[in-house]
Amino acid sequence: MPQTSVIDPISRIEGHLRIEMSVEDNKVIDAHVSGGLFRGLELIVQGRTPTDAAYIAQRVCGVCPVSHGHTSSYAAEAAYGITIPNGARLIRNMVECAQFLHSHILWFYNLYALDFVNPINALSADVAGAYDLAHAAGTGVSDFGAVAKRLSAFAENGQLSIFSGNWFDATVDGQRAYKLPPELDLIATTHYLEGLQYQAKASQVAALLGGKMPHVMTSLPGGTTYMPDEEKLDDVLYRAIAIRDWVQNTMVPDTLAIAPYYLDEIIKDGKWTGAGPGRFAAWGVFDRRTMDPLDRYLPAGMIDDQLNLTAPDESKILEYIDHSYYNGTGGLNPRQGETDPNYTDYDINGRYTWSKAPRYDGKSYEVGGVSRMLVAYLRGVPEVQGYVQQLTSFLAAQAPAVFANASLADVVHAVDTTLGRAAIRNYETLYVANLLVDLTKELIEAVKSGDAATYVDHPNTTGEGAGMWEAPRGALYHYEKVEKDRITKYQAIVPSTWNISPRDADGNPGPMEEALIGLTVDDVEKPIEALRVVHSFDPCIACAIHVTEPKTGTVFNTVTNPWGVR
Amino acid sequence: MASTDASPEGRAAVVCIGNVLMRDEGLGPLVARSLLETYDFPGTVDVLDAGTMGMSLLPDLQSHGFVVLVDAVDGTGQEPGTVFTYTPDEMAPNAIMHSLHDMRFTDVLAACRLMGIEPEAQCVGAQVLDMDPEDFSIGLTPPLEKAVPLVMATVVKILSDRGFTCITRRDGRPLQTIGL
Repeated sequence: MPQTSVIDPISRIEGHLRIEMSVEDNKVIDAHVSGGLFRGLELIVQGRTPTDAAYIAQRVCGVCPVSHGHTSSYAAEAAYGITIPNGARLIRNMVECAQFLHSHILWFYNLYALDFVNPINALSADVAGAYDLAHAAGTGVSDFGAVAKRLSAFAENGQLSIFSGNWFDATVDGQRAYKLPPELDLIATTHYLEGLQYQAKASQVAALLGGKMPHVMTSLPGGTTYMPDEEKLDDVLYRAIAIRDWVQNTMVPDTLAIAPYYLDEIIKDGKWTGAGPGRFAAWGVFDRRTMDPLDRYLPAGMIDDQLNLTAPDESKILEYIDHSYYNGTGGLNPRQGETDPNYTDYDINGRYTWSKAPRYDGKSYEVGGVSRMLVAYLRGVPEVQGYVQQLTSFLAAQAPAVFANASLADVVHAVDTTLGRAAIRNYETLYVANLLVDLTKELIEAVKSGDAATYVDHPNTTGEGAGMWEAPRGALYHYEKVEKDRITKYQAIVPSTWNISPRDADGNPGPMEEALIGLTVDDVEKPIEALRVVHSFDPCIACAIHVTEPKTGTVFNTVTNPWGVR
Repeated sequence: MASTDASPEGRAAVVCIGNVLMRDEGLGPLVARSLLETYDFPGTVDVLDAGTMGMSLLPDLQSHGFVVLVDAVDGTGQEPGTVFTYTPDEMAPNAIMHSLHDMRFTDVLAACRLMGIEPEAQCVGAQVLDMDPEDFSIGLTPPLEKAVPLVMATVVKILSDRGFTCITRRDGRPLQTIGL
């Protein structure tokens, strides 16, 4: 008799996501993923100008606003038939890089790592041993002793709430689920805190070029509005180099230090753990001078189950709504797409999510860092080929029986797993960190040589077009139809919609559902294996509220006249 | 984002937290705006509408030695609109962090302290009436609206006690509130 296992809400993500699994003999035999928030951006921008839309679109999210603003601008530029000049290309690329770096560091350390790292266990670490281990692993050395001291003071006072709500007591195969030695837990916890500071540096780069972050102000259809002076460029370069060094010397080595303890999250009993559909979509991001999506620093491409690489064809995208809270059935291309919400009760056999089900050529596709990196690998981007090679050698050393003579298909399977997604995405972080340094230098040269124009006007005010770009979480699509500078139709397909999509009209599951089905789950009450799968996709849904409350038994000091009697 | 390169010593931040779409939960941002409309602050004081920014506040806590937090308060058992001062240690720890936006100031401060950064902090708040409206609602309920001048005066007094003198603007427009 199958048991039902529900995680609702999923913690450590943005927004509200529910997972419902049917578990029999510790195997997940069915899974449904439900997004609990309606977006409705499409309706808000009706009748607005494309410039308004580019700013409003950013408000979809506080983590990846830049990508929405850029993609909306690219849609308008496609509609107007214009191409942005070199200075705007460089600035957009740089702000996008900064946002990717912020988001990737946030995701790995602060949202995902607590599925593998137990800061409470770090309390029993031998500090000298932590230094030795950090040296051996080639990862960043900080004042581990000071962090250990502060951690234990916090633990004594019950102040470790930032690490609360986690399943540190969960089990996998009857063993404890958190397997790191305390010294490695201490190293990773120290870097968790450092990660917060490097995220801030990345946001500062976006703010230096975008006026503020989140929700940058300097990009609009036609280009950008701001060219940094020498001093600002120096501020950017200094931060870019600091972030690059930290990603290279801490984030990537941490990943490789943690991975050997969790190889089961890549392959277990000859089966890939948390494997998606094995099809990958990337619209591509970071334009080169050619402004050709196939030539981007992370290029566009579709990889099917046979590892065939093709160029994306927008007309092959259909969004199904048979299992979503919208009026109607069947699939429409986003250019014909409709946003007609109609909430009905949660019913896994009927409609159970606000997410639509996008399909490409009738099939589900996974999006995100893994898809971008695999497309870049197959398109022969040299740095990415080097990283994949490094990762393959690492796996061969860890599990020679599986990876000694790994084929391309094996490597693809390995990175499309619960832990593989993190490994490949952290290499992507390094690629983007290097790119930000290079782009900053390129912008400095472009300014010197007078090749840094930032804006082109649009004589044409009517047309339609799609922007196909990438947010940190994956392929992002905005489409708009414009009549006399006013939007008459707008549709967006965001990355998490691909990954958390429900069944389509034929009952085929979405990528995350597929990744959960077949998974081994030790404890239906605390299915940490499933939580790790969900987090590996870095799902992002939306927002709630927060408020201060007094500690139990504490009375706040009431104020009636702060200056006393006067 | 304030500059993080300056020394935090001798600098104060008024960090106003809240979500303007959630009725009384918008207290902080309204106080920030009203403070800036009513007073001239010395260059060593930054008044920040911090929205619901969570960990993104770290650089601001790092770059100011003294922080005045302004936030809506619930669970005090007092009448809505009652104004309080309290210290960060008197805040309830977060029970469970569901999403990034569930991040509370106490979590941000905890992360800050774990990093070895210890800004001195004083908090000012007012008991809410309604911070969970059925629909997004901009503007405070009447008792909270009435509390805003007292919250502002309390902030200014705390700053003044620390030697940060805030001057009422001669050309100051009357206190504007977001349309109720």
